[in-house]
Amino acid sequence: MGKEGYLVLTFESTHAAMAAQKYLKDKIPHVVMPVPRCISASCGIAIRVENGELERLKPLLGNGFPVEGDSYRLYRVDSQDRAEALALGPAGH
Amino acid sequence: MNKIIDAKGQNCPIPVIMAKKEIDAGGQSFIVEVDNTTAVRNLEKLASTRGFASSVEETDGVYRVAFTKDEEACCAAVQEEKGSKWVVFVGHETLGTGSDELGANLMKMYFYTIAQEQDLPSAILFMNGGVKLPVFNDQIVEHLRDMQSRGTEILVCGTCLNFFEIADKLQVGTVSNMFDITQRMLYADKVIAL
Repeated sequence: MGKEGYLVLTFESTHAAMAAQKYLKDKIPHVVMPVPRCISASCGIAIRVENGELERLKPLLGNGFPVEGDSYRLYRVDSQDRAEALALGPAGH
Repeated sequence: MNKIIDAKGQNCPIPVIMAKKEIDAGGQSFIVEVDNTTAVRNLEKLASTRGFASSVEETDGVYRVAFTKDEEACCAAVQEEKGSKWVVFVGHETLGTGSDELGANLMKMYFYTIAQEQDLPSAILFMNGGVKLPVFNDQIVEHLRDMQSRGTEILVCGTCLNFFEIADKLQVGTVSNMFDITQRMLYADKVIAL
């Protein structure tokens, strides 16, 4: 696991986080982590995906993803622990 | 003439306990006779953690493990003990009780978080349902490998692996026993039990 930054999904509820994790299992490599301090989210469970997987991740967040679009967020966290929210555009839909 | 402790025919961890008693009684130089290599290895480990030099001779299936107080090794052992050593004891597959699904996530997050720190535990000890983590949990296996490569010792209860019939599937760590596990707890400054 490199230190050069990563993508992280955060959720409004613990149930949403666990549902998303179940859905992504075997679909894309990811790890479960606590929500980084630089991000505030109402649920403490986050899903980390490596930077290079963004294009593979985006379509997975479309049809079939068990969490409503307004109940999760995608961020890119850089090596200095700064988070930048990524727009979940129509890519992949 | 060195004192000879006859531990032939004794199963693990008896030979180690006999040697420990001798050390605790102030023994500086003695020989333990055993008849299996597991006992030899465990005695050698004991010697190194207690500041003794050890040597082994074998004749007709009897191993004579000689312990000699080693002043330099002793100093090293004392110094090592001075650093704040903490160990983590994992006796469950999940963290806390209430929901196993939540507990499984919390356990992953726990290992993710401690692996991010500079100050790692000197050892992580797995017992009972906890032994399933270094066997089946790919994320935790990854964190354990990372910490192991940075000096953390991973000890997994062999009796427990056998009980769950997963001993052949262990992905990371050393198959261990009650003696080694209790010893790591005893010599730690702090034990965190999950």
